[in-house]
Amino acid sequence: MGADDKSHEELVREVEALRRQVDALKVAARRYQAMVGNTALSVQVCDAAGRVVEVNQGFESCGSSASTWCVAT
Amino acid sequence: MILDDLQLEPSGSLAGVRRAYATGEATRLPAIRYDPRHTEGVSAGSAGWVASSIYPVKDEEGRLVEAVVMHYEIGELARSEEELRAQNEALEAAVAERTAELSEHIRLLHAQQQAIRELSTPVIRLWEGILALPLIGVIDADRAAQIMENLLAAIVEQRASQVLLDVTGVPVIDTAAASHLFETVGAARLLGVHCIVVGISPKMAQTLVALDVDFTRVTTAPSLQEGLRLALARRAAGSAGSRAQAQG
Repeated sequence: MGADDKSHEELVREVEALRRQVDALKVAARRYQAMVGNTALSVQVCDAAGRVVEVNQGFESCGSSASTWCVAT
Repeated sequence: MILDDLQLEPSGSLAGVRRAYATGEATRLPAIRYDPRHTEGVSAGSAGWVASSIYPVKDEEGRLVEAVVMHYEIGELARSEEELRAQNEALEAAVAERTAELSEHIRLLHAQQQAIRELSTPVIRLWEGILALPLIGVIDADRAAQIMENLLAAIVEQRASQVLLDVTGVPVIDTAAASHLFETVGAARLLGVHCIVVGISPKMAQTLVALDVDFTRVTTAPSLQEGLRLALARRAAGSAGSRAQAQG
């Protein structure tokens, strides 16, 4: 039995489960943003190649704007 | 590029970053003074002391996808430590300088004391084989040792046979000073030298009698002139005896 064979109810349950996961991820992302964005610490996020992709407000308060540090992603 | 940031190299931070990327393990980086303006493409910001930690983020298969770098500003602390270190260094330098000055003063003092000691015990050659040692000032144990050392050296050097110890300039001769004089006379006698103590004042004589100091073992004379006369007479008698012995 393939995906096409799923009943309407099963599809609804899967979609709802995915939606809950997305919501949880959104909450986690907002929590992360709240923590990193409001901490007094300077935080940089670098990609696997070592390029700066994101900096927080604490980092920018040291005098450098995010745009001068971060590569376009 | 955090993996190529040369400002991180001297402190060992760059090695820490590369290790964190290679192993995927969280790593604490040493404190450094970082100036963002020295980073390529960055022209703003100001230099400051920071301590940092790097936290690699891995995907489900364990591959590193990102690294979160957290910086802690330690500007005030570092500045305090730096100021304290500078103050300590300045203090140590001042102490070393003062110690050197004091050492030099002490060396000069010792040299001056030595010169004074040598000047205060001059040994004068009055006649062939006859020396005079005019003593001036108080005779204490240190000075007595200096007197004996100088006198014995002069006796050997000048091949003396008689010495006049002139105590005219000695204000007081007590039991201790007399004992020092006797020791000097005894040491000279061991070298075959006859000593005559000259210049004992009436007051000094009274004191010595009162102290029951026995001067009978030592030849004395009231003045240097009289002492020299005695020494010359003794010398002449010695020479005559030697001649008679040679003829006989």
